[in-house]
Amino acid sequence: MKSILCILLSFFCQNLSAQQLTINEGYLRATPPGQMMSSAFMKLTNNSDQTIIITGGESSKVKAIEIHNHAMRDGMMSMEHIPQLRIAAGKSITMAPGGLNFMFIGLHKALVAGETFSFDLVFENGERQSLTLPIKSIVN
Amino acid sequence: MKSSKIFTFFVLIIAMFLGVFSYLNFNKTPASIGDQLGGDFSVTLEDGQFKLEDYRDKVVLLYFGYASCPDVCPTALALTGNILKKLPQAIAAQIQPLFISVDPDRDDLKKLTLYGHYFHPNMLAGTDTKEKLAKLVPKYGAFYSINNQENSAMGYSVDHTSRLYIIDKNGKLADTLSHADIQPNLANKLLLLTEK
Repeated sequence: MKSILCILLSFFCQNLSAQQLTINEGYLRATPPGQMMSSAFMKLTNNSDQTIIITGGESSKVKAIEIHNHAMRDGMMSMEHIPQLRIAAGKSITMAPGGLNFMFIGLHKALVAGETFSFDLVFENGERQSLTLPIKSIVN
Repeated sequence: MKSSKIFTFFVLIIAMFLGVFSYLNFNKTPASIGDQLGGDFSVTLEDGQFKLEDYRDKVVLLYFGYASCPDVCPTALALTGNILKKLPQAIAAQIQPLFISVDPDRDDLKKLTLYGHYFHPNMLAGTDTKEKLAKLVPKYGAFYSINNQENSAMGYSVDHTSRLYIIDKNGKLADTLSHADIQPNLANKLLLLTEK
């Protein structure tokens, strides 16, 4: 009984720590015709007193959701897959065009401006946090 | 004694090669704009060839990228398209935006046509053989390289310079805008190169 309580309690606490991650100003980009790639941008804030580690995302509507970063390398814009995004306790990280983003690789259908897209953030400890973001067009 | 002379000779030869090699490598850095950059070219579009020499009465805006580029290319193309849409019609009619994909393996011509139109109704988009692209891209001081993303579902991405090349009505490269300069400076540059 005691151990069950412990497990339940730890599950509750872990879950709570994941929920301590708040997402602001998040959106996904609408896809140009024929393109099954997109990026999501957002501000992530860790309100907890522990580091939160995100390893990527998951959704049945896309082959993979990975964290990528951009960097200038030899004068060229280069992308790299970031296996872990660490957000220190009390800190925020902004994912913005030209920098960090969640990359959606192999979308099963086009992302249409005005609609929304739901997916899970996946944490290093296996927990998840579901997220629904608006789809926006960058074309006027 | 003889062998040490041979050794010295070889060391000198190697040093010479290293010198030439590093000089050539040094020259790989992006060149500044000048008479040596730019010039006529052609690329394949869905409905034929784009030949720069046919656009002497237009200012051509050229961007090299790839359609599955998830962030940088669409940002640059959307900024460009959005700025063109805000220009007076008479000015915009003198401007021809062109996207050239450096990823012909993934970007077919039909897809590229739709891709270009998404950013601006007049934007043309094409590509060509890898051999032709390898000659054309450096002609404009641009460069790219395939980046194998072994730990990513992307397979590979293409590292590339993100610049907008402004070619005047004489077919000369008039200016280049870095990615960050497109938004603040493109409209003014275009007003200088077109007639009211």
